Amino acid sequence: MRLSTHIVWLELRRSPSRLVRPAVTLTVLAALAMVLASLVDTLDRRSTGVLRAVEADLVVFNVEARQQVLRSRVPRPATIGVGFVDGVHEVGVLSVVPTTVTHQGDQLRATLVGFNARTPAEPVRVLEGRVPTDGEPNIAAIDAALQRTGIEVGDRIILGGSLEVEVVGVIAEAMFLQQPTVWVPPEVWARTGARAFPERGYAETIVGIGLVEVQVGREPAEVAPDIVTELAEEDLDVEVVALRDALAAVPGVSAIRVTFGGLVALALGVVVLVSAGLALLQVDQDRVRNAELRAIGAGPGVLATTLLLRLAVTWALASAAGAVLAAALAAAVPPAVPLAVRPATLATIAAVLGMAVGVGGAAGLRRVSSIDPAEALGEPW
Amino acid sequence: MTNGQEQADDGVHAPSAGPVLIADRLRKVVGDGALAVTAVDEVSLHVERGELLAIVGPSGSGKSTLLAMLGALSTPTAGTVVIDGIYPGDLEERDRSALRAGRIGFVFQRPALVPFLTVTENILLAGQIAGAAEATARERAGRLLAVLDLGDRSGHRPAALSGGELQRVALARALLNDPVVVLADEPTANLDAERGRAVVALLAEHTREEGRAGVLVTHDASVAAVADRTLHLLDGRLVEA
Repeated sequence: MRLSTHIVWLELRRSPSRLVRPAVTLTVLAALAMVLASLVDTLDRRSTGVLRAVEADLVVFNVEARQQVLRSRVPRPATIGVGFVDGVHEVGVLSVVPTTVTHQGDQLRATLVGFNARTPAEPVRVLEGRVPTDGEPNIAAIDAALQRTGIEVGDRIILGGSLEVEVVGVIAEAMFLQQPTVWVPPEVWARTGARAFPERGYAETIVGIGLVEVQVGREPAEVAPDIVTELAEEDLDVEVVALRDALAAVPGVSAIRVTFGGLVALALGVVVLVSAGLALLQVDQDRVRNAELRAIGAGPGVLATTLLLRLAVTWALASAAGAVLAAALAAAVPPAVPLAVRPATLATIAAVLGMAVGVGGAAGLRRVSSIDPAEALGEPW
Repeated sequence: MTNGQEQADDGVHAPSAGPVLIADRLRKVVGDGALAVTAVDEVSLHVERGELLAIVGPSGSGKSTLLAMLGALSTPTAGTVVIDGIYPGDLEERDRSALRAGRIGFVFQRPALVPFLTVTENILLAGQIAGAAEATARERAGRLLAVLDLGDRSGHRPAALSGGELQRVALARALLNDPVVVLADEPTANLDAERGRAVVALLAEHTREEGRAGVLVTHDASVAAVADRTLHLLDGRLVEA
């Protein structure tokens, strides 16, 4: 290992083009994979931000809603009963309705979110100010996406064309179906919904979904059936799913994940092939020299480790450059383009890229390990 | 003679009585079935300490194949090789590599030095592979560079060297670990006559003065004349001159 590290380090210092050239090829693929992954990540988060903004273990839908937050209707009294189910620590309600936000004459589409403060339905990341508590009818919090349009804490906005509220806080981005969100107490949600869609029967006694936090040490999957049973006794058919499953059920999310996930997988597949090609090329280019090193006593492990280290350097260079390119692209595109680069996404792709390079490099490893030292004499046997 | 796995591992060059390098009825068949070719056939030889043996023969006579077996680079189809009391055929690949690193020095026809390492670093590479102490290896590399008249080229890279200088670097690398056997494969093939003679003279001098067993494969009779003894190989068999 020490000898291989020494060789690769000197190669990187004195003959960087031998490592940089393959790294450039991989950089293009790394940047592509990182941009695609960031796109899927951004689209996903902008569809599911409302549910990601809270810290709940389980989501309660009415059965007819088929796990759609927008369609779900649960009687508010029933959610209170959920709080008495064995294993439930706390329960809150959250409801959404499409609305408009008017600010200084500009009208934007947004999603209005009604929630119970100090329950699992309260957004956890407050960036500025505070969130409204139940019974505060004329105030609201906005998410960071809405703040980017120019709305600030202290501004007054009009919801649904008629209800004026004051913005008292900003929470982390929590978009729903690609729209920014305004967070208000449940009664404001019901009132706004009733005005916008009188035929849908919005009322303070009906909420969208229940959000449940289970007690420490309890498994959500064990508690979920008990909630279903409890509400069935109140003649209410509900479906209780883990938050992760509820995220996947948001309209469009599965399609986004499958489509972009496929593209990312395709890019990584190309990385495997390119890495294999690069590794084999490196082995073939250095074949005579490697055979000579074998002849003077270097074991196959030394050559294999050297190849692996060279690939690792190539991967590190490509990942770093790819991340810079992806971040630069994300900074250059207009905010409307759903491309936000998160370090976690880049790190994940870099790690997966490393595995792909490793898989591809395995082809080179096999070949370098089988180099016959007699080849140094020009004899292939 | 003993199975020398233990000796191969310990890195100690304990002088053994008798020839340092022995080949007994070596045979190498290449290919299978109807395509099988006997590249080396029933070759026996021995090389004493301080002796330089030349093996001459035309192209395709099996010289390099024989050298590969003598240097534990390839395994004979039949027969045995003994290097300083060690049977390489009895060793695992790892121990054979250690044997080559510690007890055999190779000089190749076209030395493929590492292009981004300096002359000194290329020579020291042999020591690093053999696990030699760095200070000792550096001191020895310095002496070899001086003796081989490469002192002013120590910091240069291979691309800046002439063919003769490259061969001298290869010779220095081969001698770094103080091997008991030095094997040279057509070391003058790419050099002009004067430089070729100089390299072979250095090889002969070091073989004799430091008590190594040397084997020089060449097709050039004038180069072979420098050796103490010459064997002729034709179609894989030793023949009378």
